[in-house]
Amino acid sequence: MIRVLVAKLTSCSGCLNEVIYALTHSDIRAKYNVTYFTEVLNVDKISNAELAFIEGSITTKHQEEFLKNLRSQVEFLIALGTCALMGGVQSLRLEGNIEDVKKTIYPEPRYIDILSEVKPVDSVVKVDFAIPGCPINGDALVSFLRKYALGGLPVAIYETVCSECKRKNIPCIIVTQKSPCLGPITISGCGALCPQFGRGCYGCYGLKFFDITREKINALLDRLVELKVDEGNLKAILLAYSFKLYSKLKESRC
Amino acid sequence: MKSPLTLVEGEGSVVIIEREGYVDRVFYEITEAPRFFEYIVRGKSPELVVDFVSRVCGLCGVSYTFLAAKAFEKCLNIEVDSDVEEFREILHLAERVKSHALHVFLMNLPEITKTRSFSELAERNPKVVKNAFNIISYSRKLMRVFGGRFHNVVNIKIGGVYFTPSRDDVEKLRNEINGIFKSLTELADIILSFKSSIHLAISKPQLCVYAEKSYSHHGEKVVLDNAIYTTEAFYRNIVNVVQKEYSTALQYRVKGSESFIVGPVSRFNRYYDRLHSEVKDLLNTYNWRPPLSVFEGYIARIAELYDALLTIREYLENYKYRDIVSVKNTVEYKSANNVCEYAVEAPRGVLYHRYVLGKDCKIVECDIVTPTAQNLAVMEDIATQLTRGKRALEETIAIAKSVAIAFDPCISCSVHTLPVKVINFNKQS
Repeated sequence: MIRVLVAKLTSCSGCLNEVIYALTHSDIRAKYNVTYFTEVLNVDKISNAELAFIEGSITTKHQEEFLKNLRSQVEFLIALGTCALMGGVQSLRLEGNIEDVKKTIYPEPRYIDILSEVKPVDSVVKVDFAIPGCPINGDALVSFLRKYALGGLPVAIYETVCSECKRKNIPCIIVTQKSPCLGPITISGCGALCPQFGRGCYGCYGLKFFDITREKINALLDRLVELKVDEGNLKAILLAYSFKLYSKLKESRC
Repeated sequence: MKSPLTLVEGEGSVVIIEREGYVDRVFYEITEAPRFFEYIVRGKSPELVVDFVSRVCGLCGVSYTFLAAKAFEKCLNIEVDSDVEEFREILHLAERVKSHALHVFLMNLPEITKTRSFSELAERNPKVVKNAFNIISYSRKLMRVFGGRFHNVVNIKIGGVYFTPSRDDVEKLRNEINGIFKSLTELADIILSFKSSIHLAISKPQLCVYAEKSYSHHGEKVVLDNAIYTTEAFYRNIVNVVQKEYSTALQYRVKGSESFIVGPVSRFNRYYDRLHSEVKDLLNTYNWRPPLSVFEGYIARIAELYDALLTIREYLENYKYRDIVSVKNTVEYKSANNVCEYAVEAPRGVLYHRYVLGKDCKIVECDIVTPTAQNLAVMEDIATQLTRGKRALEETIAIAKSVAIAFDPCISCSVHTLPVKVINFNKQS
């Protein structure tokens, strides 16, 4: 049995629920022994394991220490979802000064002990494998677990949502409906979820990271603005689901 | 004395304040980091916010999205087709099935039976795990067919939905549902036979969304025991955020003092009569009827899970495929009332949103009151009531943990609105 730890940082638990979904498969339960997962296991101490799944971004000092400790206990660490990979929707708070942000919600902001940054997992520890998405695709996780149990890893596919639409013969939302779609710059993995329902992709799997440039993003944004899409909304979406990458690429435009 | 909370969603600890070895007070320290959703939605358009708020919670995102859409539709005078409304209600009930199934089978059941985890329980009774996973898997299919995916669904927008399922997809769900009822009744036979180890008569006010004819679901009014309020009156005038001397953790209390209960137990106790007769018959077999105590929440969850599945079955059986996606992709905002508010019964209780729009129709102010934030005061009051004066031992912590599990706190949900000071216990004691 492969020992597994499952933990969360700053996040919504949505990706963890996909871990629970994966565990509903009897062949996966037969291969993996989950030894730490506070949501469903009455165990509050971390012990050595082969694998660890981590959801969420780092926004407190305590989480940073927790993550380093977790990393030291496992051989292979998998970052799950947009928060762990890019920072997550909570990164939008970085548009403001942290003290001002605290004041908008908390009458006693001085008691809120958080970092001014929102850190993706790989900025603190080594990540061995990443599964993108907000939330991740549970079937991708199931596939990962099956292949890992056989001694392998999934083949990384570097495509955008557009490729998934083409493969499924889904008519282009931008061309046929004149509706906004972030598919051309969003990493694949969802199976063209929104376009298959006639809705433009809103980029929740994050920007494709392998050959993205500022020029490519701007070219798409220009096209979408022609469709009378609010540019502020587009930028908010890119920051929300791709903060780590987009915040580095956007400077010249904003 | 402090111990991490397990078998709950999110990160927190129970802290026992003791004086000379005896319990004086219990509180729940939330270590989950805040995410500041009320701040991050500022300056954003309503249609964007509908998808963003779904990210507050991986368990009850439909409640957030549905509620935000309803709030904006009300204040922007956007009419919604009754078929669309019914469709979205079914999607919301599918979420109730999902959330209750996960909670009862993975968190409640191990706690009631005093096993370490669901897997340990399953080793002794594989049929239990098979039935539980059948129901969880079915809830996943429901969410995918009606919402696009298990969570962060992509099928709710202001004024409507993006798609309706195909006849084939609905047919598959319909063909499968009777097998799910079999799994549920087999599990219910086990769970309904368990009595809670903690007995406590209800003595706290209970709050739920007011429903004229149906079971509590969504609306513009709430009912606290027998008093009916508009959401605005309740959350602006009746309930206050208060600060206790032992902590700067803020809590919601009626008139600043009395704690109250939200969630399945409140809904069940008020609207039991409106459950399907099949549900009441099953409960009667095991002598369950209102009032339930908060420690019998698993009974209310089983009842609501069964009731929601019966409503979903009726919908599937009468489903007439038609394109109800009639609303334009971009809603034109006219004659905006600048305050948008509404309430929905999320799986864990009343969820309330209030948005103030600026002249450009973007959000200038936001208030989100979550079920867990509302329950936190009563959790602490009940845990203190049960343990005060007892020796501060591991058993006492176990009672306080049981209180937390009974309330099914969703800590990820609560932290963006739940200001918490981390108390240094050593200094306190």
